[in-house]
Amino acid sequence: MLAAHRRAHRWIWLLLAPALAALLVAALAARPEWPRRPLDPAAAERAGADDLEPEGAPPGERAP
Amino acid sequence: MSHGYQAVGWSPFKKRYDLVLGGLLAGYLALFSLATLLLRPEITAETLLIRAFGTAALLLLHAVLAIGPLARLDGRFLPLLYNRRHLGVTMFLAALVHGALATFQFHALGDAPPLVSLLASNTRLDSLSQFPFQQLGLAALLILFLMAATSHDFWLAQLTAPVWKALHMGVYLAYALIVAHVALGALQDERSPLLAGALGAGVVAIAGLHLAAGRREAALDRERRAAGADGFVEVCGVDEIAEGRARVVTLGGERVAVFRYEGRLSALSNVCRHQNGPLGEGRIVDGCVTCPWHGYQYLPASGASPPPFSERVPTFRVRVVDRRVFVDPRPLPAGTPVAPAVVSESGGGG
Ligand code: FES
Repeated sequence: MLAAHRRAHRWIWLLLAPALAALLVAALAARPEWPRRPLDPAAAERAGADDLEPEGAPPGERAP
Repeated sequence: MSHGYQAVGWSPFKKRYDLVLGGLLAGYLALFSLATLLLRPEITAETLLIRAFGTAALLLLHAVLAIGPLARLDGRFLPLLYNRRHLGVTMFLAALVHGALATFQFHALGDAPPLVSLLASNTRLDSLSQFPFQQLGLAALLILFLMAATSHDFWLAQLTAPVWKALHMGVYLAYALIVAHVALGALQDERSPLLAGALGAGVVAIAGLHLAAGRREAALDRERRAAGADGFVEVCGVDEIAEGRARVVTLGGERVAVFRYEGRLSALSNVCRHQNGPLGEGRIVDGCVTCPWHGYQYLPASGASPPPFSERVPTFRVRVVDRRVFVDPRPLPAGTPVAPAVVSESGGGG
């Protein structure tokens, strides 16, 4: 491979790797149901939260 | 090579490669469909096909992108590189089926023409979870189409290897667009962690492989060697080069392959005329330097392909003193014959 081509390759991946990682994290964080696991209800109660999923709800499902 | 073109130069190896590839793809589609029908019997046929072809294209794209750095890191992967273009075209066809089915399912039944609907129905650029991810897929598909359409050696010759290689680096942009297409599309609705985990693992693997291969290349590029009074540069000992193989060194920023064969040494550019493949990682076969990527051949003493082929690479003067190899870093015009340095096998060297 030509030196310029090799350099271009290196730079592309040095930039692409963190960009793709950031994109994945942002996309996961943007999911409406993310994070999917309900918080520990006892800890939530201590913190005063009252609209959490009940314990034992199937992952990702809202209480009726 | 350069003496004429046909649609595909079929060989038994290529036929077997394509048969295996077609079989694997059909097997994957069948398995995916079966598993999905078992897990989600309510799924419609259209959605099932869209997902089956979409995931198949995604898997194939990862394979296409992994082969290059794998072959650079370990020569045992070289046979996979040989027909990588067939893999790329298959991947494009799977992506095309996925895109066509999705456009039909989601955009063909409204008042607007399907493509207009695809491009204009979602403009939520301000939201990640509602992002118009289908447009990202369409952009990637267009890039993949350009690459599939120009994948033939005819285009390689018309565009020249450096331009063709630069154009085909568009696959990295297509990859980024497809990762975004999946992350902002399917991943927003899919609750199973399987897709997120697989996509994350795929990105880490592909980026990791390219970064590792790039690091290795960079280390070789940084090599600096001082020239003697006559301009020749000491490269290595004769015994560091195996019979029929080469030692690759960086001289004046470019790479030179010094081959040892039948008691002689010849040096030529490491860059194959076909697709810039690394000649120095190839072998001497039938008296010719043979490129490890697709088998183009060059006579070691002249850098010229044997007739009827016409490719030529630059050559370099070599000399051996006390079993140390010296190379003149100034390249001679492509195809210039150079008397090989003679190595006496008993020691000394000439
Ligand atoms: S790069 Fe294809 S034969 Fe050398």
